[in-house]
Amino acid sequence: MSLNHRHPFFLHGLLALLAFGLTGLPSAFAAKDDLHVQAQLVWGTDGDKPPDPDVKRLDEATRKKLGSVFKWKNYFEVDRQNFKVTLSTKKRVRLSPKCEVEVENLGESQVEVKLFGEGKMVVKKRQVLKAGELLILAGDDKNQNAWFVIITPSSR
Amino acid sequence: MKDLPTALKLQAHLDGELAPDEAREVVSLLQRDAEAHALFDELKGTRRVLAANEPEIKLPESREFYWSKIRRELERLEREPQVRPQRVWGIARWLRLALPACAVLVFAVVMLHRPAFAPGPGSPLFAVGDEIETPLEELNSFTFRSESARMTVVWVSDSFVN
Repeated sequence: MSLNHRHPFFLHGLLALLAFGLTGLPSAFAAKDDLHVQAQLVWGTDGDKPPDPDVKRLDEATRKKLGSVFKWKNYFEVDRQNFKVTLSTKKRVRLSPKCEVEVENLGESQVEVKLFGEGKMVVKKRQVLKAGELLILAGDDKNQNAWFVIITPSSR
Repeated sequence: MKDLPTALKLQAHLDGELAPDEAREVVSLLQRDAEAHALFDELKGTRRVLAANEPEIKLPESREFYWSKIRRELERLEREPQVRPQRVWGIARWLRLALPACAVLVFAVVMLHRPAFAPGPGSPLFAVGDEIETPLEELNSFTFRSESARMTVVWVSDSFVN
């Protein structure tokens, strides 16, 4: 006697489980692993605020964090981008005419961040991105100033 | 008793298989050697007995018909399809189907859920050496971390941004 005759619903149940496994689980994983990211381009200087009206003072919490580590007195936000990166995808955003950043969601809060300067990849970094954590890609700028690209997880 | 080569020569002479020179030597031997002569007589007697008593089997049919029957039987056996033993659908038979099917199913599930199996920070597949990369030769970079500020900094020696 075959399995079908012995257990009429056995095969149908098995097929339903398989269908769930093949279709339901991936979307469940994907929803859990979506990342909301904020990318900021910040200028650090000992001088005054630049005349560009789009440049604004950095929020106090981030300014204090930077001030506890770096030497510059003032930090100004040049641009800010908030975006979502779904699991196993990457998102590239432009923060200035010369600066772009690409964030890839590797899952489990793991990201791979690539910084592009004038179209060329300058640096690539993998990092676990958790709430309250900052990943900063930075470098010296002319006239004793500095630039910072700050990657943080953002609220939705 | 004569030695074996001499006995074989005597037998060959009896069968008429020797060359004339050898046959003459054997005749000479038989004339001067009584033991050789006795052996030759014995061989001759044995041959006579065998020739007189060899059973003759007569076929009930002609020779051609007898062999043609054998040929036809051989041809029939060659034409007959090979009979394979009937297979029983037991557990082993089911396993032979089920195991490859399971392997294919597992592979499909793994491929569909691949992001869930991607190497993460806790995974041995996660390559620490891949954490940071500066592909441009003219650039240098270094990483440091401030636990108090909860920040990781990658400092790059370039001023391209602004």
